[in-house]
Order: sequence, then structure tokens, then C-alpha cells
Amino acid sequence: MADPLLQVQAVSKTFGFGGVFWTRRWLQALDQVDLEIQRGQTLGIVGETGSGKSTVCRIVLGLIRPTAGRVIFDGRDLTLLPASEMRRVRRQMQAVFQDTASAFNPRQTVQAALLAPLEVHRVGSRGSRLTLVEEALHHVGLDTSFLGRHPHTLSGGQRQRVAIARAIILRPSLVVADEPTSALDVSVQARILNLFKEIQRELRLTYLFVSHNLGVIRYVSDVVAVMYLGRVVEVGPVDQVFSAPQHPYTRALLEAIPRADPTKRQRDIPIMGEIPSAYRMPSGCRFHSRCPVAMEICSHEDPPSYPVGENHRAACLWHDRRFVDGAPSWIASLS
Amino acid sequence: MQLVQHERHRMGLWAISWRRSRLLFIGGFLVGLVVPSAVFADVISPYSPYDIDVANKLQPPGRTHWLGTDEFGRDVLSRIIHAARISVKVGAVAVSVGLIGGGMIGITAGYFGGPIDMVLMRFMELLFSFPAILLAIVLMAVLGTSILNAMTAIGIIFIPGFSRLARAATQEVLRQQYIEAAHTIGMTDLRLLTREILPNVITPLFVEAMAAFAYAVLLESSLSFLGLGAQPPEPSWGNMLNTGRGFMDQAPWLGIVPGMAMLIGVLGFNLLGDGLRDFFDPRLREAV
Amino acid sequence: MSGAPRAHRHGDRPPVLGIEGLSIEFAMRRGAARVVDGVTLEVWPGEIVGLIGESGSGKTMTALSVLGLLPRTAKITAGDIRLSGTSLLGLPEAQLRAIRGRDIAMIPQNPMSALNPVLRVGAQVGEPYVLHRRADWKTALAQAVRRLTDVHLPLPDERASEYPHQFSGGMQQRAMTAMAIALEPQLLVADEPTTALDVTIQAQILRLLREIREEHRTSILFITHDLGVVAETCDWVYVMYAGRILEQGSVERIFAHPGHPYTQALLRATPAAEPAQAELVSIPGTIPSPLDLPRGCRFLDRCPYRFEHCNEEPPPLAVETDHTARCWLLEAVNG
Repeated sequence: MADPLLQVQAVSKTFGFGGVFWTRRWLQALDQVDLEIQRGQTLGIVGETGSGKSTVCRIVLGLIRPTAGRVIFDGRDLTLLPASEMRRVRRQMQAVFQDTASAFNPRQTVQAALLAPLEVHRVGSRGSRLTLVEEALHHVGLDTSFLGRHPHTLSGGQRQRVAIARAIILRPSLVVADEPTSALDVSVQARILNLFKEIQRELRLTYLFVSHNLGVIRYVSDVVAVMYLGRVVEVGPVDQVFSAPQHPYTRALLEAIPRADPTKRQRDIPIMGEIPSAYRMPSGCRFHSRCPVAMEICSHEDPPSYPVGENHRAACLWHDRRFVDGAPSWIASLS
Repeated sequence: MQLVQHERHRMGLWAISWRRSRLLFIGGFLVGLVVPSAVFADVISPYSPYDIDVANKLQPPGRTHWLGTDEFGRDVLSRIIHAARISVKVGAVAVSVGLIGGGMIGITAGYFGGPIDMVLMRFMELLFSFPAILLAIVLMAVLGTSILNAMTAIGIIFIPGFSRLARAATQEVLRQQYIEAAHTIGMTDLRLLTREILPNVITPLFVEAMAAFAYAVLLESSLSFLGLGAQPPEPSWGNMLNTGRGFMDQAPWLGIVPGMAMLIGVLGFNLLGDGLRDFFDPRLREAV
Repeated sequence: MSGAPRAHRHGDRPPVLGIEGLSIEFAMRRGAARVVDGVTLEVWPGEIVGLIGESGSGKTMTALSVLGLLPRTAKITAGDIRLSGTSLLGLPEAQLRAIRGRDIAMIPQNPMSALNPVLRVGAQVGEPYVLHRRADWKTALAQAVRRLTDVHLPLPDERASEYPHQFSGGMQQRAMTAMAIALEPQLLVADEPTTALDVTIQAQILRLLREIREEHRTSILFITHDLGVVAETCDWVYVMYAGRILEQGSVERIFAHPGHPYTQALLRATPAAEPAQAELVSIPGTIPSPLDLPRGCRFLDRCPYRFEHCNEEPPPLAVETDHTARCWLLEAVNG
């Protein structure tokens, strides 16, 4: 029954900065990332600075080419497509970015911004395009009075709705959302998240949803991937992963979130130290320098992804057959 | 504080109070003296600038000739007004050449980056490193002395400055998220350049164009002062200043008047340019 | 913190910070925009007081007014701000400057823009000693290193001679905190100090602030929009909306029995990571413009429980001891 719309296979990405030849500095943003999204579902990616989650978005959208690996969208390998083909594929995948004032051309009206995708892909005629624009506005709960306005006169929430309208106007199958609510107030965020869910049902969309906010990810996702320094450290159904995390980093992240309940304050700091610079990646397991349950071997052996449940994987040596007997209590062994 | 910020933005032009936009008003006023004179020169000149009337030569300013007459009996006022036309024409053409040429080079360099950027910018730097007057003289020597060539020469001088500005503005625009959004939609390079980048790069270029206009007027005057621009009997502030030099003890007004006219023109455009720059920048970014 | 009402726990001493009936206005073409309207709040010695609100609530303006850093276009039109009993309004700039840094210090939202990029961190942290205590640079730098150690910055000696851009976000915030506590001020004003930080780093900074309160009895006014952070860190909470304080109380009481519909709505709209929420309830409508404030209750247009009486603005009514909210519903309950 598995019907993946998008598959990211062993994707790695290295960026080069400045200098020439041996003076050039290399940054490994992604290392052997494997992800999959089933049609109609939402994959949430959660991670902190340097996790690589935004880079994954850009690679999926074809804005950056991976250094290695493949991106299979609807059965086609995007990394092999010529530019003209890619443009056609883009109709099927659209994006909503974090709303800063710069998500829209300040000189264009809402109408112009919404017409642009239709014009680029030569959809319909002038008349029918306006109808599509109105429909898109309707889907996001805005009325036609917004058409003549300029984006910077809108509130953050309204702007984000227009961004969503722009993303769905071509009726794509995949929508990539990169921190779409991070700049919004709590009450506005709630509305936008509900809008995302509603539109997903109405238009049968598949989402790749990125956020650093675990509560948001929990609310919108079916499956969650936790990323750290360019690796997927845990992936699985969101309820399972968040109620019984199988990787120390996921656990620490969940612990670190301040809860809206003063009776449940943190007793210990769940995680020490700073996020290491990606220029100087720790040896062995990337997380070992900050891991509260690290073993000696973690500093020289890099864990692969171990199956830890149904459709649930975690990259931690504690799940290895060699060590699982001495594992901390929260590690659920498959054997 | 989003709401209050929004209100301030909507206030626009009419909210400019005198105190905050002195430059804009003064500059605008002075330019308002020069440009309409240039445009309506024929209508407002009391006399023709070419009419020789030797009998009345070297008259001091008086009732019949408000600013006096020159060594050929020509009315100085009329000559000043027609000279304004030359200056404004040269300024307009030169700035256009610089703006369009420099703009295209700058946007191309900024957009494509890499080796294209490097080559274009090195060439611009080469051009930029020549002192303006020297470059103008050299170009005129090559092209020949005439008003048209003066326009071209000055235009070429402006290209590097505009290109640098256009390049920086383009790079700034490229950092904005709507460019990424445009790529995601699948927009072609051409459409991106014309619809998304160009309109947002124009503003700083336009502001600079005002200051460049002032400089163009100055350069033209310098060139005609040196005998390389407008040729007699065409009046130009520069060549009037040149001849006026020789009459400083007999008829000082012949030197002072074109000098004052240049002052008004150059100052006017400079202030207007500064005023526009102030108008566009802090107002839009003023946090509340 | 139960037992005696809040003010009486401190005997006759005045609160560290006493804001009474504060109103701040901006003069606009269309009239006066009152962004802070009759705000009364107190911070007692050793307390961490949370001021929570969304954008447009006026919380940042309130914070700036305490520091005397309001923009030129803003005017305080009513009320008083007192530091340990002494009024700060109307003080000459020279005196305010002496107070700023020595008695009140600020920890800003974005440490990168608050740190001078061309000065070494040690010099910046040491500056308060030179300015306020007339220390020589050698002493000041030694003190700076000591403060950097206090904020748990690893390798403080080396770090002191580095520049801000060499620090990560979390380290920069620690440096700002070090600078703020340098002269052991009575009051720290923290304006969204962890909003720009990763979750795991945020946890560390929040822990640091609590530690500073424990060890130095410093009072903290903590401005934020994040309910979780408030629950984690604060003793007392003021909920602000459209320039008014709608609810105040101890943190346990506010979260256990939120008295105001706005507070209740905020809690329902905040997504939690664990346990999951079935639904996020958003708040319809938008915050009223400060140019166009409603005559009655500020929250009128968006409140699900509004009734006749709400056309008249409610005064603070008791929810329970030491817990008040501006809502007429409470009157019905209390009789």
C-alpha cells in the first residue's frame, strides 16, 4: 500500500566557501539523508540550527543540486532532469517560506503575485486566470478586496495566507513549508496551522513541513524526522516518536521544551554545551559530544539507522545488538 | 508594533514636514528655476542670444538688459537662459547613457556573479580610476569637440558609478525571499530580471541620477570652459565663464553671472538628490 | 508562593519596579495612538515577573519606558515608573544614564545587534566597570572574565579576547547577560531573550537566569510571547493585550485557572509536543488598532463569551486571592 510521492535517497550536500583549491572551506550540510513521504501525508522535519532541514527543502524543490544521492518525485529522478523538464515538474511542487517582509515583491499587488505562477506556466486565459486567483483566495479565507493591496500593508497572518494561496494556485501535489509560522503570533499561528490541515484535506495535498517548534510539528505531521548536523537521527510516526523517543537527541529536545505547566519544570538541563560547528564535525556519532548517555565507543563509531519499531528508525548505538542489553530504560529493544 | 509602523508608511508624500525635508524643497525650488528656463528658453528670453548689437556692448545690468550685455552687445540674461538649455540637455542625455549602460552592466554582474561579474567589474574599475575631467578630455580629443560628443563622453564617465550601485542593489534584492519564491514557481531568468529585479533596483539608481545630473552640469561647464564643449556662438555657462574671465575688471558681471547660474544649477540638483535619498531611506525603515 | 498576599511579603519596602497607570502615546496624523494604556505592574525583590503578550500588546514599549529608551516620537502621557520608590520620570538624562547599567540592565532579544562588532567581548563586558565604577581597564577586564565565568561561558579567558561574530547565538546571549549583571543591578529587563535561540540553548539560558536570581536576588522583568517560557521561569505573570493588563497572578494560578478568556484562548492555541492536542483553537478577528480602541472591554470583538455588560470596560476583578482579571464574567461568579 506504500505509495511514496517523494523519496530522498542517500542525499548528501557539501557547500564550499571562499578560497581556491586547498584553502577552500567545506561545510557538509547533509550526510546520507533518507526520507520518504507517502501521498496525502505530512512529513515533519524538526531540528535546530545547523541541522540541515532548510537545505533538504531546497534540494527537494530543486533550488540546489545535491552533491550525492537522488530525489525521486512521483517516480522521476529530479537530479537527472534537464532544466526545461524541471520547470514542468515545478507545477507539481510548490513552497511556502517563513514569512518575512521579503516573501513578496514589494512592488506587486496581491493579484499580480498570484497571477505570476499562472502566467509562468501559461495556465488558462486571462479571464480564467482571474477566476483561479479568486478561488485560491477563497480557499485561504480571504476575500477579493485583498487583490489590489500590496503585501507590506497586510498583517503577518494575512501575508502568509496569500503565500499559501500562491502555493496552491497551480494545484500542486506536494507543498514544501519551511517554517511557515515561526514569525507569527500564537493565535495567528493556530489559524494558519488549521488552514494548512483544512487545505490538505480539500485539495489532497502532501506536505513536507519544516519547523524548529516541536508542538507545531506534532500538530500537523503524520511522520516526523528529527535532524541533527545534517543527519536524520530518528524518524517514525509522530505519536510514537514523541511519546517514546528512541534517540537521546530527540529525548533531550522534548525535555528542553518549556511546558505550559509550572508544576512540570525542568529539574536538570537536558543537554549541555553548544551545537558544534558544522565545519568541525565531531568524530564518530555527531551527537556524542553533548549526549547524556554516550558510551566510549560513540566517539569513534558512527551509528547507522536501526529499526526500532514499525516504520520507526533511530541512529543510536544503543540499539545495536552489541550494546542493547546495557541500554538506558527508555530504549525499546526490537529483539 | 506592526500596526503603527504600517500607519507611518501609508502617510507618504503629504506627511513630509518642512523641518525634515528642507533639502527636498530647496533643491526642488532651485531645479525649478533651471529646468523650466531651459525648456521654455525661447519664450522667456527677452532677446535672442545671438543678436549682436555692438553699439551697446559691455553694458552693466540695467533696465533694458537686466543682466547687462557682453562684448558683442548680446543680452547676458538671454544667453544665460539658453545656456541652461544646453546644460540640461547634456545632463539629461549623459545621465541616461550612464544610467542605462551602467544599470545593465551592474544588474548583469550582480545577477550572474562569478567570472562575468569579475570581468565586468574589473573593467568598470579601470574606467573609474581615471579622473573624470581627464577622461572627458581624452574622449573629446578622440571624438571631436561638439555638444553631442560631450554628452557621450560624460555619459561614459558615469557608467562605472551606476554599475556599482546597480550591482549592489541587485545583490540585495537577490537575498530577498521573493526571488527564491520566483525560482520555486519556475520563472525564467528573463522574467525574473525584468519583473522582479529591475523594478526594485530602480529607486537607488534614480536617486543617484539626480546627483549625477549635477555633476554632468559641472562637467559640461568645465569642458566648454576649456573650449571642448559648446562652440561659439552657442552660449554655455562654461564658455561664458571663460570669456568673462578676460573682462573681470571692465565688466565683472560677465564672469559672475554664469558662475552664479552654475551654482544654482549644480547646488539645486545636488540638494534634490540628497533630499530624495533621505526621503526614500529612513522613512521606509523608521521603526516605531 | 501561596500564603500572604504578594505585596505584604516584603514588609514596608517598596517594590523594585513600580509602574502605575502608565500610558504611552504616539502622535499620528489621525490622532493619538495609545499603545500602552493605564498599565500597573510591580516587580518585588527577587521575583521573576513575566509580561506576556502578542505583537501589538505594548509589552516592548513598556519595557523600553522602564529603561528610558522610548523612541523620540513616543510620549508618556500618564502614570509613573518607580525604581525602589524613586520616580524615574522627569529625571535628567545624566542621572538616567547613571541608573542605566548600574541599577537597571537590559538583556535584549537579538544579542548580535546589541554587541559592538568591532570591540572584543571582554572589553564590552568590562565597560560598565569603567563607566560606573571608574575602574581602570586592567581591573575591568579581570572582572569581565569573572562575569563570563559566572554565566558559564567555557574558556572565559580566551573568549574575552574574541569578537562577537566568533560567538554562537547562545554564547552571545551569555555575554550580554554577563554585561547586564556586571554591576549587580536591582532589576534586569529581559526583552524576549531566548526567542532567537535554539530550544536546547534556550533551556540553558533560562536556567542561567533563574540561577542569577537565586544567587544575587536580582529581580527580572521577563518580556515574552511564549507561554511555555513563562511557565518555566516566572513567579508572577501579567497578561497584556492592546495596551492593557488583562490578567495578573502567580504563575501556578494563572495556568491552573486562567481567569480571562484571552488567557484561556492563548493556552488553547499553543501547540504542545507531548501530550498531543486534538485541536488548536484559534482566536477569530484581529487586535484592535491603537488609533481605534473599543469603548468597552478590549477583547470584546474576539471574545466567545461577550455579553451586554462588556460594552463597559471591566476593572480588575478577583479570580481568587492575588489573582485578578478584567472580565465581567468574574463578577457573575463572585456575586
